[in-house]
Amino acid sequence: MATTDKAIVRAARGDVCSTSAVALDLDGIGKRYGDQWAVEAMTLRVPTGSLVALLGPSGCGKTTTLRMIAGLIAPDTGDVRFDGVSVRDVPPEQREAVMVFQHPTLFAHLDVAANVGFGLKMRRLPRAVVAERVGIALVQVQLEGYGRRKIAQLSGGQQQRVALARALVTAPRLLLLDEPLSSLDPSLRDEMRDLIAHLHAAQGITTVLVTHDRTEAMTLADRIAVLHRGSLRQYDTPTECYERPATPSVARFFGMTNLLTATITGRSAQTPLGTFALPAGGDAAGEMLVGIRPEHITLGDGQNRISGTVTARTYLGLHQQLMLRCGDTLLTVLAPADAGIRTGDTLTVCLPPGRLHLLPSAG
Amino acid sequence: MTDRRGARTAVIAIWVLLVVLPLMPLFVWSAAFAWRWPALLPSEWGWRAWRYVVSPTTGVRGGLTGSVGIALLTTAAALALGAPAGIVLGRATFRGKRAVELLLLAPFIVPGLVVTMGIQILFIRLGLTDTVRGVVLAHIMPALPYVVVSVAGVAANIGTQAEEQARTLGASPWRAFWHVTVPMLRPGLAVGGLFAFLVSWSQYTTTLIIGGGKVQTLPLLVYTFTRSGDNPVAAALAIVFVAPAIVALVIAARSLRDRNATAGRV
Repeated sequence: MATTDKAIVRAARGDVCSTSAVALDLDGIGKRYGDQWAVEAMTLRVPTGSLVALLGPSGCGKTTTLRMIAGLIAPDTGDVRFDGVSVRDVPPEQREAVMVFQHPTLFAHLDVAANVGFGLKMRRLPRAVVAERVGIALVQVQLEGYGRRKIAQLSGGQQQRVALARALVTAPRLLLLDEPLSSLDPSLRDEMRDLIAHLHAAQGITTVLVTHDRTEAMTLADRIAVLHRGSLRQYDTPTECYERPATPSVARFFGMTNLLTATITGRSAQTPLGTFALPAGGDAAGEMLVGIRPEHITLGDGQNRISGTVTARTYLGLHQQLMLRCGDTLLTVLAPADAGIRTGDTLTVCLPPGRLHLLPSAG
Repeated sequence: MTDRRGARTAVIAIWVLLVVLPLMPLFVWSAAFAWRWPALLPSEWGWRAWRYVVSPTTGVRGGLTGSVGIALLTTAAALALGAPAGIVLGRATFRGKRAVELLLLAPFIVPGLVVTMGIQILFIRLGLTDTVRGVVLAHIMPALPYVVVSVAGVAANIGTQAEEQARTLGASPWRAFWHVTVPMLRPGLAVGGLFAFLVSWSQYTTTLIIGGGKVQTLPLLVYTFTRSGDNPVAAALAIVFVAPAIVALVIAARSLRDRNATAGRV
């Protein structure tokens, strides 16, 4: 437990990115609704030019965090700093942190060009400059020549691209994307994701992306901040979050669905399913959780063998997902689709020690 | 295509049947010089009634400017007072919201005459009777709920996200309101303003009691001529009385249609 806590603290403090400049610094911010903390003591540093994803299930506080960054709601505790300067008393319109909402919040009474140019108009730039920059921005989102169109004449994907262009054209200090892909059809989603990745690579605007989609976060983000019940559980690269989840909630979110309560002594773990051998090198002891991914459980002989009854099968094409009942515990197992297994069969599987992962029992 | 043409024909037919036809006798009467029972049409035609209406000396012009002026002032005041209330009622939730709603909508329920009798006494004390100011103030009351209801409906639909979007794009609260919220509220403002105008335009008792006969409007004139049995002049006045209402209706309908063409998702 102690080691993982240290890992969270180290990651959360942003020590991992201490070499580069910090564009956004959340210093223990919290927001309370009634007696419930929507966001609690969140500390997070976003390096300049990077793309950080706030990932978590709905209601975990990620949108609340984004709105505090934008200045649309004020934190009850802590401070928000842009480039080292507190923006606590800076209203949203002076923060230059532009939000792109889940549903493209376009101004229907304005045409496409006026929508994209809105932020520049608010900055009182000359008309010719606005027109020029709007033209460039429309090209960037592949909507060249759409300037005179009305919003109602655009498809959902085109509307979201207009919203993106409208945000980018102001060259903001921070780009805040609130689930920008989730209102789109799956076919458009990949296209939009590639566009976001491309524009981020090209312009290097520091970006905070809120999403509940693990794949979206992993493909787009340099770093992922995993939120659960209003607090930060892990802040790491996608690979680290996936391969070395720091807490059970992160593990579950990244697909490590099999978690067993265990008492650790030396290199063995005592679980309700029996005693399992652990990989060498760990120094943990006491009450913990042992986790293993469904795809890492193997069929047939080996170390840490257990058997159970197949209670459900889900065909997934190349693979099948099995629910295996071992005593009072259900394990999820990913097996080849052609393994010839039927519901009700008794199956022996192995949990290879090298694939077992130790986690603190809470968090 | 034929369906659409059919629908168009039906709409025109309904308009003719319900709006134009009932007005036809007015046109005939206004151009009649002598029209006695049982003749189907007047036996003698003449422009006496219209000459009377357009004459600068008969007080009809005064009635028309009175009506237009009072209705415009009432509309402006009802929009200024009712739109903010409508925005808040449409968006916010707060303790006592139902009570405020009920209070604002009370003029729908309480008979206008009852209120007018009461405020007449108050207005006499304040020296507001027999003045245009007093009549406008009295007209605002029945006009206000129409503005509140129509603006609240639109405000509830548009929510606050567009305003927040404008804020993060660099708009101050006031500019976000002016450049984003007001244009989005336009359908509600148009409908509410139209109703306020028409409510004021058609007031009779209120104008008579508070204006004390000193403030002249078209309904008062129409009533006078109807009572005195001068049907041609009453008919000509009635046409003048109805015309602006139809114009206002067409303008508002058109502004709504333009809106709908551009509205879409917000």
